[in-house]
Amino acid sequence: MELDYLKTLPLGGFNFDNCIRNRAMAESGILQAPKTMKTGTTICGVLFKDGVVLAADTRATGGSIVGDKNCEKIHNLAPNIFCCGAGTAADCDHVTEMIKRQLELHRLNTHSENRVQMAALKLVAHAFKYGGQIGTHLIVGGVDVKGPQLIECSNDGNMYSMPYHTTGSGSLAAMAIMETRYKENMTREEAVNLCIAAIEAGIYHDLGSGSNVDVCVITRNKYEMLRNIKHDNFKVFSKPGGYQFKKDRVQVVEEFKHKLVVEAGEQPMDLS
Amino acid sequence: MDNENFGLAKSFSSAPVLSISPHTNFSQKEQTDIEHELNEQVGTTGEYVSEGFCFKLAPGQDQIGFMRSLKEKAPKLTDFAKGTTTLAFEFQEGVLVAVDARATMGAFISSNNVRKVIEINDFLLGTMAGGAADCMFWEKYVAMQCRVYELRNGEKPSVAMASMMLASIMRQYRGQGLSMGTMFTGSDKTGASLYYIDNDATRVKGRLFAVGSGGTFAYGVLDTNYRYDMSLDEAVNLGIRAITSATFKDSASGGVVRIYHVTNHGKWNLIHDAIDVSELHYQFEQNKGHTGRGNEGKPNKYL
Amino acid sequence: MDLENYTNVNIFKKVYEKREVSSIHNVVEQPHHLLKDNTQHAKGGFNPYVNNQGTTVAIAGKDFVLVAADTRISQGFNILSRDYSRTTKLTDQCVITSGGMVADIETLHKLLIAKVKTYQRQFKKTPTVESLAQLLGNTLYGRRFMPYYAFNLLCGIDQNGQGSVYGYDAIGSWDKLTYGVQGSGSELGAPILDNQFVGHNYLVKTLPDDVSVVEDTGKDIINSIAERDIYTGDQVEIVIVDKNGIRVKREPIRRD
Repeated sequence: MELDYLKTLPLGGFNFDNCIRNRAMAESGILQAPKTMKTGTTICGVLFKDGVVLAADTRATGGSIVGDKNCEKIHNLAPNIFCCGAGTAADCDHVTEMIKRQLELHRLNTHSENRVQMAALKLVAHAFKYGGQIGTHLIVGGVDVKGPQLIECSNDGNMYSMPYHTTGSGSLAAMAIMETRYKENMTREEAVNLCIAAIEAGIYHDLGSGSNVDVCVITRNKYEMLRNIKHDNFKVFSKPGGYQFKKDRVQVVEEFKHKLVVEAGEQPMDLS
Repeated sequence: MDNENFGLAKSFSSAPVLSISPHTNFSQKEQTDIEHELNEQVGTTGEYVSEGFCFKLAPGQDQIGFMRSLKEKAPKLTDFAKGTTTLAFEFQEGVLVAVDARATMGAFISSNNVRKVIEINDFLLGTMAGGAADCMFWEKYVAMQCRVYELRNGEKPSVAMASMMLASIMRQYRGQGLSMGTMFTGSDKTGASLYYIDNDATRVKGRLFAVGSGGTFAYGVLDTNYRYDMSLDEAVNLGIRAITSATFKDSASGGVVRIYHVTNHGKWNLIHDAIDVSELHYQFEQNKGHTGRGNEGKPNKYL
Repeated sequence: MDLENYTNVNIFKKVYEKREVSSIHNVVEQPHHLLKDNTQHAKGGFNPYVNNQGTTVAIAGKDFVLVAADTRISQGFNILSRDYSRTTKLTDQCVITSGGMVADIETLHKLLIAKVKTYQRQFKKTPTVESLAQLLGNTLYGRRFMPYYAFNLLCGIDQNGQGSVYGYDAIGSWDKLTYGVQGSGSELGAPILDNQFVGHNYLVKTLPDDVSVVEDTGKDIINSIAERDIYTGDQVEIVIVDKNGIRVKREPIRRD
């Protein structure tokens, strides 16, 4: 049969073919297995009187280098549910995207609002299935029929709910602020200020976190994404007059001119 | 400074006994005899050991294990001046030494202008491959020992002897983690001679050596074109050619070429200091009728 | 207070005597803690090193030399200090600036100050930058088998009045440069310096002569490194050495 080759294709999900190779590379010490980009991060979430506040910093690091100075770490799961991600950047992006679709399908099937509990449970089930290998540390927050909810989902499949949460490399600095300043039944403004203070503690005292503060406020039937609500960290000095790059420092060996011919009609893309 | 004998030979008499001369007049001996004498007196009894140094060691018993594990414990600590092409060969007018000038730390080029020929004194040269600090320090130490010998005995040490000093030090520190691959060359009463010494205390007298990561490429050019009866100009061109070829193919070598010539009459000359290899590469290729961009005979495809 | 104990000699004497007594009584003596084989004290063996990171840049000019360094020291993801000066004055015409492990940097700088003083007493003159360069090389090599975890730049005005920078690796290989960068941001700073100043491959080395332009560039380089290197930040310390002596100033940069 012509379509026999389809049977040899993987059915879906992850491909583990290179696991043994990567382990051998790491053990030999000659070659380094490819490294993932981690978001050394500070994220937090707080429950207040009539909603949830989620907040995150905006730095993404790869080793000691800042990869992105203004990335977005607050992901949307459903109109009433948001989640902050720490850990491996790619895992957070893809897992939240996957769960977002599942929630949308569920919404369409049941004609009802998603519950935060279900979103968290789906995230945790996925993480547990892979035994902690998927590096997602998430704080899920939202408002559903049961009121405001805040749930933390760790990568090993653990899930717990408290009135305030912090995760990421700056979690200790942020938690210090939370522990001293949290009180029950805060107003919206108090909660936002508390979150900003906690994230700023992470930004200034943890090297893995930095740049700006993003805040997301979720209340009943409404959410508000306050991106870069604080942006105090920027380059303070640049050389006046800028830089000159002298052209004669690069030797031009040869020059080519190609004429680009565009013919009418649809052309197949040359992939050679 | 108060001592009026400062710097004079007699002021060294109370110094720790390091280098007792073999009481041999080298000029009246055959060269093989010098080797024999050295092996008898220096090599076996190990009199040329480094003294006066008190290297701080890591606490604990396992020195060598500690040195080996430094790479994980302290990243960047032991990385410097790796990746080299150095070559030297004997020919009828003495010895020609040619080196590149790149120092790399992993994939990072830390310098393109390193001096890899160490001018030990006015008749001895050493090249640098492996640990830059090890080569620099111990070859300077040998320079000091040679001066002391000269003050004591009123004559310059032979190249054979000076190289044996370095080899003896390497034997003393064998297995301790020193890293050195040097071509030790110089000119004495018997003319110019060339030795290869490395951190395992190997000491080989030879006619043609190329050391370092680009050494194999340099050997290719050298072995093809080498003749003993070359003139100086031919030898210099061969040295430049070999280093340029090696820097072209070996990414850990590069920068500039430096050429030294050790004459048969007790001194060395600096022939070329810093010729840029990329200029040389295009020059050589264009002489062959090529562009130098490595795409001869193929149409260029940019889209 | 027993003043006797304040001299080292007496303390050692007491330890020695105590040992004598214990050996007479055939007591199985515990070895001194320093003599113990402490290679087993942690997984992975004896490890005296930690990298506190930080970046330092030095640029030589016609009649001055400029050092621009950040002032942050860190351990892992934590900041230990935001105003640590990694540059030390050795003589009126010479400073040393280092990146790496702070304990080793401090030890090395103090040792060098002591060596400069010894030199001044012995030879009745101040050491030149060239002499200090060789001295530092030998000092570092003296710890060949347990190196100082410090990456140094020695900067000063030489005997002709020109600015000079000497760059070192951890075990004392050194070379004269026209500019240098050391520490965690060295990979980020080196290309800017290569482009803006007279580089390694340039055969005619004309040094920059306008101190304010060099200062602005040095400051900008540290600022730029702080944008992308997480271990660099807080403040930039500018040290300018010229024939009038040494000037130091600090300016804040991003703190995250």
